[in-house]
Amino acid sequence: MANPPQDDPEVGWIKRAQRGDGDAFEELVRRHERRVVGLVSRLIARRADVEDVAQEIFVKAYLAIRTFNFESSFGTWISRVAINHCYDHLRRARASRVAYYADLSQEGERALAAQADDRDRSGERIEERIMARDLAERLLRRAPPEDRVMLTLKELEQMSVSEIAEVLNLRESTVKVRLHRARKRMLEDLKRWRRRP
Amino acid sequence: MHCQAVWDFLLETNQEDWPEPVRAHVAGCRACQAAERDWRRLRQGLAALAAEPPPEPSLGFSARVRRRIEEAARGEAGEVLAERAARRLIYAALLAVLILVVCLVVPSSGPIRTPRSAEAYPLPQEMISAQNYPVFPGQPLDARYDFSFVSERPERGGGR
Repeated sequence: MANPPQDDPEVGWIKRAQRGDGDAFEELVRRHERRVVGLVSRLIARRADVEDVAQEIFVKAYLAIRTFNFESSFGTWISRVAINHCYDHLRRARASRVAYYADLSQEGERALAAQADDRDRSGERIEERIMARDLAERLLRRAPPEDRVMLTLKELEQMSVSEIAEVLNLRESTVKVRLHRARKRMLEDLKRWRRRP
Repeated sequence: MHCQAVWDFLLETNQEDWPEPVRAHVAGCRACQAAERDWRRLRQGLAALAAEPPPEPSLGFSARVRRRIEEAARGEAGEVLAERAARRLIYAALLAVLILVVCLVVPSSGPIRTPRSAEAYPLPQEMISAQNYPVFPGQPLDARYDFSFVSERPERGGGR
């Protein structure tokens, strides 16, 4: 077990929570709820599920808090728990999906078609930005769970490669490779969608 | 230069950082121009998504988490008790089956007779021979002799 910093009050709450103190854990929840809810909202598409999934993550963290050994910060640890839980959630959701393009509404398809036909390279118009945002969100939602996690952490949470490596417990070189593959697959997905009859 | 190699630059670096061969390829390749345009728009869309503030947790979130933890802990304790009871029931059932099997295999009365202990009891014909009455194989026993002593078996446990 690594030596925790003694001047951080969070260390005391963690130690008390490890002994089963509910008040101390509630304090930890208050400190990290925004981070976890934010992360979950970006990883899980359904807004209605966000709070429920975030609660499940904290319950899981409470039951596993004795395994926390101060080798990383509590924020990194709870993020890891959250990402793993969201990853499982995404995989379950993906397994139950019937068709690959099923979640694209007609409105979304029209927006994508309009986007595809648009040859204006300025990219400054607000409509274009909204469509680009919609396009990115939809492609992200359709991406395989591992790609979605990678792209969300890098592009939306704007974490560095080393931070992603720490949170996911991977080597930096692995993160770079997976990130590159995720971007490539996202781009290929867009091209494939355009070739669709 | 191959299009796939250009894509590697395209996905990882900004346009201004591309080396000259990549620029030259993209300038003459419509597929790479389209890919570059798509990726630029995707980056733009991802940046717009990143700029959106994530939702705030609702009021009383931590209190609800705590209630859920207490429920989970109660549920877990109940599960542990149920699991323990089920395990004991299974052990008891296994023990009962084992006892039943032993009762069926082992003879219902008397000690277990090994072949060696069985040899310790002489057969009736050998006992008769021991009384100076020669008996040969296949020869009937003589009715004039008293064979009552044959039924006087030695006491159980007398032999080895």
